Amino acid sequence: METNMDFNNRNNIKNMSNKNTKKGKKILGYGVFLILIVFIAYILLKYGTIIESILNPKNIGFSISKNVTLSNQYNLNGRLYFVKNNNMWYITGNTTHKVTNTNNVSDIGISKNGKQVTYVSFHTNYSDLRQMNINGTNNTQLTDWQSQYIQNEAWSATPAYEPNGNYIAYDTNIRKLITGIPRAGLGVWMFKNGTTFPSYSSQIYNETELTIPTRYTGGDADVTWPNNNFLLYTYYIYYTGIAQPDSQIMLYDFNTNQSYPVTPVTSEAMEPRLSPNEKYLAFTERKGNNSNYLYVMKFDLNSILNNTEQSSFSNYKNTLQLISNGINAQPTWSPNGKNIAFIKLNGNSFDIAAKSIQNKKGKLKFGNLTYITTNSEIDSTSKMYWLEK
Amino acid sequence: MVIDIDKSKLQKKNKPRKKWKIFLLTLLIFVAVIIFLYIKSGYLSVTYDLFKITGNKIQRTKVEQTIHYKYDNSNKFINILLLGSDTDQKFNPNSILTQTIMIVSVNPYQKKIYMISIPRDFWIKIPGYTQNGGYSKFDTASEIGGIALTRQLVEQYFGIKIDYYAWIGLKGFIKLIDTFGGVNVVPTHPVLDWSYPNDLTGNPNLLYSSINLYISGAPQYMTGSRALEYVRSRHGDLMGDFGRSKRQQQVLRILKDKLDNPSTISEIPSLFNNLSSIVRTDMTIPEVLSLAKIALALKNTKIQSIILSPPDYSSIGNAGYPIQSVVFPNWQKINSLFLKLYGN
Repeated sequence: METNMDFNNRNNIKNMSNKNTKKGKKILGYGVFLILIVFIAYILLKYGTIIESILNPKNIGFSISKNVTLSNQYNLNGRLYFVKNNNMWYITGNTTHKVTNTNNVSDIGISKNGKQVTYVSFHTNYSDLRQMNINGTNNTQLTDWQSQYIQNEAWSATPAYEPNGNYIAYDTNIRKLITGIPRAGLGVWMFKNGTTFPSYSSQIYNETELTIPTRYTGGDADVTWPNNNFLLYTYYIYYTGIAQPDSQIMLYDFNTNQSYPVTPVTSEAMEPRLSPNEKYLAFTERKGNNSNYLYVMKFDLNSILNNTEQSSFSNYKNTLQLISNGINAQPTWSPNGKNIAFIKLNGNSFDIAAKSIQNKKGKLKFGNLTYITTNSEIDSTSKMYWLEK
Repeated sequence: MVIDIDKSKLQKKNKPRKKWKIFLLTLLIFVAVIIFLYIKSGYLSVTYDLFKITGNKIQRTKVEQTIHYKYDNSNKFINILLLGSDTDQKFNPNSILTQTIMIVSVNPYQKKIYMISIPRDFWIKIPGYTQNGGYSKFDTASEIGGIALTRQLVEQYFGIKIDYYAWIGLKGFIKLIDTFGGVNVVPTHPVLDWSYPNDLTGNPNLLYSSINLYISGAPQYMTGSRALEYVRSRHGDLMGDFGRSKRQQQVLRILKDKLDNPSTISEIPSLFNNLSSIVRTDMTIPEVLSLAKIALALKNTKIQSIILSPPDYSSIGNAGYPIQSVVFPNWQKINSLFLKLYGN
């Protein structure tokens, strides 16, 4: 028989064990809670950035947009060709068109008749010139600089067609193969349109060297060929200091086979683009630590060739400022000369912008800045071409 | 009676469920608060990653403790020694060659910022160096005595106290630029280098090989790798190291401009997470944050960039055995410059 005492004891023991179990569960609960907190804190600390980037995506690192977005503020008359993500595109009206899908297009040069394009295809250690029709068809390799020896590989850049289309001029450092001195910079060379060069030796002996660059400057740049009689380019030379070269715009005259300065040696001017009527020159100028402004000056061929420009640079001194802030590049005139399009750093993206130009009794007046594209990350190292439809 | 018994049973059954509900609810609220705070401020991640990068104190040498700093005003500046090294793989981890030696001085009261590049080829006497009568190029200091000896020599030769150091490697530089979303640069000129080091491929056989390099002179967007090529290339410049010092200062100023943007603060967690294994500094967390605040306050302050290059502050010549091209400092002119910058 079970006594009351036994019963009580058993109940006491049961109660005690129940209490202990409850306590144990409580402790276990707190323990699990604490472990969970520590675990969550650890995960947040260790992988917090990843979690954050998933939950709250931001512009961390770089991502290149795949599309060209039009601002819809500008209805473009004609066709404006440019490069983005190593492909050639154009804008007309308020639509964009991607011409190539080869992912190897840089530094385009378009013939004046708007039918042919010569461009640069960059590789590790060298770059080649290629040519195609304006619609991207008939893509042909013009030069082959691939070699098993890197000292035999060379760079090509900024091709430009002679206005009548017979020749192509461009920048290259193939001089290093003639002199055997690797430090030769890029100089301006030209060759007959329609020629292809299967080897560098055939190229050297069938091309004409127009300019000899200053050593250690990187060489000449930005070749444009607005008139059959002359071309324009940027010349680099150490003049005011030795920590960085100065730049100026030069004109190469085919009648005298000589170069003439268009802007002073200290001007830091580059990217020359002559207006269709050849009366004005648009160009950019390096300013301060990291800016590049846009200017327009009168262009007088006679004063340049007679060196009177060189003695006074009066046209340069009367230069008009088109854009005086930020980073601007690659100006190009509209076919009627009433607009200039250029690439402008807009926030973190290089976009295409434009300004209208009115000539009122010899005085130029500029319209407001309008963006043609937004957040489109246009290639600011490649020239743009504005052609008629 | 029966109802009572059932009630008590029910109560007993419901109690643990309620507790679990409360527990789960508390846990959920806690997690939500943590995630909210984290996303909102990025504080936790910043703190964690800053701990890894910062506070790497390097004990001052005995000589450093006895240096008399020449310029009265220099203690009003925060002087940071920036060191950029060559590929880590080429060297013993404790004796990395510094390709870039730069003093960045910030005076928050007088609103002055200086950026002074010291040529790595400066021909100076280095304690502990046994050849050439103890003379060698400045970068030998980090090779034989690490950051401590480099800091000591900068203090000894230039007469200012270095408050902090910050070291960055090549891969660190690439990550730094990429974390900031790249940089938009107006190059000083087209960069053409026929012997650019090809030492970041990860292939040990290519560690001492070179490539041809071409960077257009047109304004352009640069990724971390491109920016490194731009600031590291030296063969395409008339004065090699001096030319690239100019480009290094240019890119540093672009980075400073990026930091001036308050929105960049939100990117700090990602920045420090990316850089934790490849950047080192002896600044503590509060010091980093104070400096960031000072930088923001000096947003519009013009930076004075100086390269101790020929002909103003040095000259190029040959010295040592085997004979090597070196840069001889013109201490008279350098001292005048530092007196002007840091004197009363």
